[in-house]
Amino acid sequence: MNLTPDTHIRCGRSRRRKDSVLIPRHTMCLAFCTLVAMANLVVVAQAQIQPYCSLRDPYRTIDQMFPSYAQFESVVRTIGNEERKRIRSAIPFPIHFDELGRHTLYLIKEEQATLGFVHVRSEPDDWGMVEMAWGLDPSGRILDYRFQRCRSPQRATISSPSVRNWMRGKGLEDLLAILSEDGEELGDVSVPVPKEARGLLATVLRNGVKTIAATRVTWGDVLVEWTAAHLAADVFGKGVQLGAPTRLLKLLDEDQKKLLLPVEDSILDHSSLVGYSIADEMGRKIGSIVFTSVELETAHYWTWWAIGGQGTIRAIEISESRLDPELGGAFGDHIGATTESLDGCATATGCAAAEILIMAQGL
Amino acid sequence: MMSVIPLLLVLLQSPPPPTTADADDEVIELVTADEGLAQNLRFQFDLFANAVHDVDSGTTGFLSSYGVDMHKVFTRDGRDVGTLLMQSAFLRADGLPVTPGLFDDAHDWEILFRNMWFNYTRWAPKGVSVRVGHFEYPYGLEWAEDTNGTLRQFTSAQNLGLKADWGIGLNGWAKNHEYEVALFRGSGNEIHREGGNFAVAGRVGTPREENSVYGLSAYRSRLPSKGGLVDRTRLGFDATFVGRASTILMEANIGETEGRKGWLGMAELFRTSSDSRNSLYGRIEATGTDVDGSGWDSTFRGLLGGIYSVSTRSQVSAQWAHEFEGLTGAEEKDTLQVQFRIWL
Repeated sequence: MNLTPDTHIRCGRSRRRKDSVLIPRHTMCLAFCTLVAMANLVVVAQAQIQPYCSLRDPYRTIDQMFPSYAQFESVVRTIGNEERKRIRSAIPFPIHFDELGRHTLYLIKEEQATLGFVHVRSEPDDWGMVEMAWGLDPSGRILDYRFQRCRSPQRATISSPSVRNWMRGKGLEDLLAILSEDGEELGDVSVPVPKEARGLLATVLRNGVKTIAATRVTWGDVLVEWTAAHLAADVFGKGVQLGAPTRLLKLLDEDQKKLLLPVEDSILDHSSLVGYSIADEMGRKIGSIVFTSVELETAHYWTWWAIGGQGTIRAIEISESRLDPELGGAFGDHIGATTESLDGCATATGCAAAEILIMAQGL
Repeated sequence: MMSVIPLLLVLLQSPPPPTTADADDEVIELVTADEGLAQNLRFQFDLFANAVHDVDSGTTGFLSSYGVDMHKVFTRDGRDVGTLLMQSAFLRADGLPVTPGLFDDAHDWEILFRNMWFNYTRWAPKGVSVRVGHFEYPYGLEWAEDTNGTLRQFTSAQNLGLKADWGIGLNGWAKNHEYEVALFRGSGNEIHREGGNFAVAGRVGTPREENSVYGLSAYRSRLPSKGGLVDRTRLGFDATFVGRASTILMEANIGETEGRKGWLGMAELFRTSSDSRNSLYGRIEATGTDVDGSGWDSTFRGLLGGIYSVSTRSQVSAQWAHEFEGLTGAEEKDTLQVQFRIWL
């Protein structure tokens, strides 16, 4: 067998028979030029070395995490400097410049129903980059995770069923509560983990924190709308239609804004308020969903409020599992509330409910 | 001159309009703009320059590449239906010690289609996708490791006669395996008939995300060569073991070329830094060819290389290759290569 190097792609003009060429050189050149020019019109900021032939969709991992899935939809967006700053403001440790670039969020679907989403993110560790695929629910709670790449000998320990079960259901605030202030060390962990595996677990938790923060900042509108659609289906029935997202603050005139609490007194982040009008199959308005970020005891949560056609709060969805049961109950107390004035509100959550109802009037 | 026109087109393009969002300082950005062509698109320019020095003859040559790298996912009715990858480049050779056959002479421009394929992924969740276009032969380590444009190349091109080709095939995954099998034109960079040229290749292996990966490959081809069409058959086994900072990669092949039996093997130790941005590798490659049933004519080659990331968008690589023993009459040979590569 002749195994001497014959490594070159044979296409030299001098050796090729002209009548055997199916795609002429000038046609290829023209196609190439056109595609280069078209592609340059939509060039986007990049910060990460990654030839794109190395990109692979994590089909097998998605199948492991969502066994009943039937399809997914990729949503590719840029994590640039602006997004980096916003992610950094939400987490206590840096997100590096080489973590920027174009990234994919996979929306995982079971025929029509949505099951969750998957995002893949890398994190430096003692033995090279650890690449994790995270399965999250639309509120940012962990459903499952898998290593896509990990050189550590502790890989099997951290991907064991017991550790994955312990991780399930945790959100951003839950993960931050386990880590030290700078995110470098683990605090108390309620699952048996050998001492030598704690470093990798800390790496995984940091990666989870970044993943949740990055997906919220970069694909926040996708996640918010997805949860709003779920809540609308649960509260108003399947087949209802979700209207276009609307900035509620922009719907209010100056007099209406005076009905709200001053920004410094409200637990709501007024700038985050987004409303969706809900219509039945005939197109008649039957209610609304209001999304807002809430700050409670220095922690931030995402909340969705379902409001019936009569201006009644019918359900509240909260993003974090760690929410104090007392506070959770305080929110739950306002289901059924119809108050549209702040005059009688005595608690922070009561005033928040009243503000939500005032805002929803404009939808 | 014609080759320069696309580069000028690229340089004259205006920067893209930013994606519009509702407000910069709000918790949730409501992305309302239709991104059009930019939706689910990744794009970058990939430029590199290689210096190749033949130590024995003292000659130095250069290879420069001006390429684009584009990846786009197509969706329809809320689901992915396909992925387009375009990695093409204008190559310029200037006095290389050995000018690749792609070029007509020692100082020449050529268009190279590294990857130019569409993968129809409508049934990918069921484990089957259909790829059509110009892509690498699904064979051996090369299939699982990305080496496009790098100094670090595995033995696919040497072993199979070509590294990539125009073709159509199936790829996908099952519970504990992934696979690809494809039929190719057998003409390499450009599509052309040579009176019966073809290639067919396939590989099945364990998942690449595991730390121990095994693969089996098979290949049959009739490729054009200087003396006419050359028949090749190959069977290969590859294995990759990842542990801490080291990766061990191995490949073993047996087969026939024009009825003459032969074998090819390689083993590489690859070490990476904790941030995976810098690496070193050492490799040995060996081949054996049956000489009319009277014994094996063997070759041995050693490689040492390193990759250093200067920044998040640029790399410097170097590789030294020593051929210990050539085929009958061939002499020992040393080659030093240095590459600077940048992505924009």
